[in-house]
Amino acid sequence: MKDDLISSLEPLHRDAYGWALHCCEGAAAEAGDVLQNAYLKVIQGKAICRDLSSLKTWWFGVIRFTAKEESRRRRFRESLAGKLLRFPSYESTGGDSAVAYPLDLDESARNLRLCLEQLPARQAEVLHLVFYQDLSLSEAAGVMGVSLGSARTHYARAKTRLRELLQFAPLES
Amino acid sequence: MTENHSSDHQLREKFQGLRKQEAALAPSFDRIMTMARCQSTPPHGPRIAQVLVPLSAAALFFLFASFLLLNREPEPQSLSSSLPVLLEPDPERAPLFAGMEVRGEAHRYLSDKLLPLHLRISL
Repeated sequence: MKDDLISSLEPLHRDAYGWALHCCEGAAAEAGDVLQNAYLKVIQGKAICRDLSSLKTWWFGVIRFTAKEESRRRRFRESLAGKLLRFPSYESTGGDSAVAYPLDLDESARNLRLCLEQLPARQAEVLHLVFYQDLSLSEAAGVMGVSLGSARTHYARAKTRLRELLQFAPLES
Repeated sequence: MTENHSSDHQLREKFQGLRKQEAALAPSFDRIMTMARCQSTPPHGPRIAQVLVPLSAAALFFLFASFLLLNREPEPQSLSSSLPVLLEPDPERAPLFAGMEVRGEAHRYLSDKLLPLHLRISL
């Protein structure tokens, strides 16, 4: 069962990496760590998919949750209490992961990422899920854990705001 | 309506461009999965060792602490209890300061009479 799940996750790997990158605000090393920890949850049986028909929605939800966990853990490690305690974290691979490398994006892609970073988190998420991952609005709402109506509102506002930002954003040389 | 659709189409194209570039930079599935599998194996020995090591460390600490408590030296007694015994008067010897009454009620030398601290000595 677990092996079946892992083999069905393989075709989603590149999209999952893109989603992990989005959840980590474009940080490649952190996205690699998040994805690795998400796979670890599947291997250890902590993340179980009961309905394979909505596999992508479920998997993206797991990645989103893992990214939030990692972010909290990182903030704690960087805090004074974390520095004082400094106990070894079993699940953390640290910043010296072998996946760490700079993302080499062209101007247009970098500009889009910069504009997305200026949007509120929910709005950026819904745009990424719909335009980048080709999910429907209801699937995006499922990944984000919000109602369809709420997702629709975020989607409409996000499109308007992103268009404005893209129109006036100076292209980086 | 048409303008919105074309605008949506442009946005989608931009996102798909980003998707292509990021997908090309993604680490391989096998690599990440291998790293996750390595991470899932326990880092230090079998589970029984993980329980036994702290337990034996605690037992050793307890033994050491009890050894120290049982073999500690008795507390030193106060001088007030031993000093009168040391200064038990010897009847055959003359007093240190002749003509000075140095014996108390218990026929012992009192320290303030033995050392005439009450006297003023001009230097």
